[in-house]
Amino acid sequence: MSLNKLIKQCALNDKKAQATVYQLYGGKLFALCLKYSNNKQEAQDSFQDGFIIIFNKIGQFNFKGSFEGWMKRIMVNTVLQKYRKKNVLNIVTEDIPDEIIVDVDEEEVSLDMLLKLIQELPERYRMVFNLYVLDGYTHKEISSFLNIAEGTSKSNLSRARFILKEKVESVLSDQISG
Amino acid sequence: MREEKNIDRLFQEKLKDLEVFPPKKSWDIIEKRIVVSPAKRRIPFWVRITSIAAMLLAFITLGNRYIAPNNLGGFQQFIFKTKDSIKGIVQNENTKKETSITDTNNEVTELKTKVISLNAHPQISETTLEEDSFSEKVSQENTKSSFYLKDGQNLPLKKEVPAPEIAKEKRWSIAYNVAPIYFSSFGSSTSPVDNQFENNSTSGKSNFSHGIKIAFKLNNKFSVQSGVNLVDVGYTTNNIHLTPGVAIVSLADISEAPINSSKIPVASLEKSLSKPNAFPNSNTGSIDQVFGYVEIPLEIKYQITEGKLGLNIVGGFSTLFLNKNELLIEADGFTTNIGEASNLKDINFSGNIGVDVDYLIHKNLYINVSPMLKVQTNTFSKSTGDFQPYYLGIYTGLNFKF
Repeated sequence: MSLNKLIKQCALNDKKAQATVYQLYGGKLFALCLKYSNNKQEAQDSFQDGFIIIFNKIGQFNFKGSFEGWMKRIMVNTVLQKYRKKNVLNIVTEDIPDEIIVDVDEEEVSLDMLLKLIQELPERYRMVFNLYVLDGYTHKEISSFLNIAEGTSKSNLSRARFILKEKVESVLSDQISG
Repeated sequence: MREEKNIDRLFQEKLKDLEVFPPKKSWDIIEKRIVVSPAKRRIPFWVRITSIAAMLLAFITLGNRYIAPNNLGGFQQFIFKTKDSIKGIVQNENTKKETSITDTNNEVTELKTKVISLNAHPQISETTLEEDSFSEKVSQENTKSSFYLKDGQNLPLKKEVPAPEIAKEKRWSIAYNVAPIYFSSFGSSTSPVDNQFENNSTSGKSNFSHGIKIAFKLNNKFSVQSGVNLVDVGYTTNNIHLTPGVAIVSLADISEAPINSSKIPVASLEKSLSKPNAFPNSNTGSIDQVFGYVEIPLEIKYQITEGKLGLNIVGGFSTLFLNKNELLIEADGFTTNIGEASNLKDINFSGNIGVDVDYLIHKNLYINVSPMLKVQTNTFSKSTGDFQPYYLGIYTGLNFKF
């Protein structure tokens, strides 16, 4: 069965097809939610809500472009909607250099540690860092998603990079000294 | 090896293609809350009508006894999946990944995904991200320089999605319906028989409708249903005067009714009251108009509640083909056929609305009770004033899903 047929079957509420789509993409989309959330429970809530929207709207997928990309956008949008509901205060623009270099031995950096560091970021920074760095959105797009100025998006990104650099270095120095 | 690394690249390489299996209960929650909305690309309406018409034809032609669930199993065939087809999807979609699907018990039991970006980093720590047990946590594989996400049990596997049950999902149903029909009219209760009876009281007669209904479930909420019903309705015009004429009857070679209908003078009692002696030898009686239709409904059913006891709203229309048309005079205990109404159209329509209560009595068997209001249009061609007939029926049926 082709992917297109699988999608059509999902639109007909075929449970088996839905389960297959979940099996194929659940891992990626849950990881996405983990990156955008500050804990597992929050990620799980967004993941479930997002996947329900995906299945409910799957009949509206127009088979142009990537299905995975379409699902990711829904998932990101679900996360952002929750975030917007929290009505987080704007963070003051700060002037920080674009390029943040970190002195790191790659083998010492674990996946869980990086995920944990992202989750620990202040929410606004986490959103901007994920959207820009991991999911490739532009500052213009981010500014409209989060209803902030482009400049704010840029400064939030810089701040996020700065915090992450500090933390990575701190963790690594702890490891070395420990 | 230590290197100065752009912080973006560090996170991109590690996290961009990360996959973490979601908690097991997530699928249960998602599955329960899926309410598929209508797709943009839907089957054209005429295709559905044609399908229904074809089904009807098949049912009428072959008869009820030939209809068995096994004969219609082909409809579901697309639901069955082979492991090869699933594998094909995975390979098409993820060119970056090595993917394999193992197939035990005819089910996909595990999907392992290799994250290429992590090839160079086999040292993945086992530390817990959160205080609670983070079952989705990634783990390491020391023997290979590749990284597999574990916890395949979290996927909606056999237990959560039992394939045989899904494959048996039934979309069609067939039912035998019977309904007591109460026939009446909106507007002034004039008689449809003749304008001269416009002041006479009229009353509907209760009759029965019965027939076969088939339904097709479009999605969770909507079904379309059709069928064939035989509907007999009657209408009585009261307080008419009739005066028997002299019947000239040839005793041999009787070809028609023994009393020539044209020779029975009939008049409205109300009109004749001003002339009490107009019909000195007349009897009072009534005209019974009896007509019957072959009804082919086309209705959409919307499910409000589901479960063992389901509530639905039904709306649609019917095409009615006249198959019975009689006018009878009834007076002093005798009934005489005086011909047929000339103002009844051979084809007319009705708008239908009602509710439908389903009750599942067995796996594929349910009963339904459906009070329906059917308002007819185009029933009469002339002499009817604002006579707007409708009928109420309480349709009770035994339904079989296949």
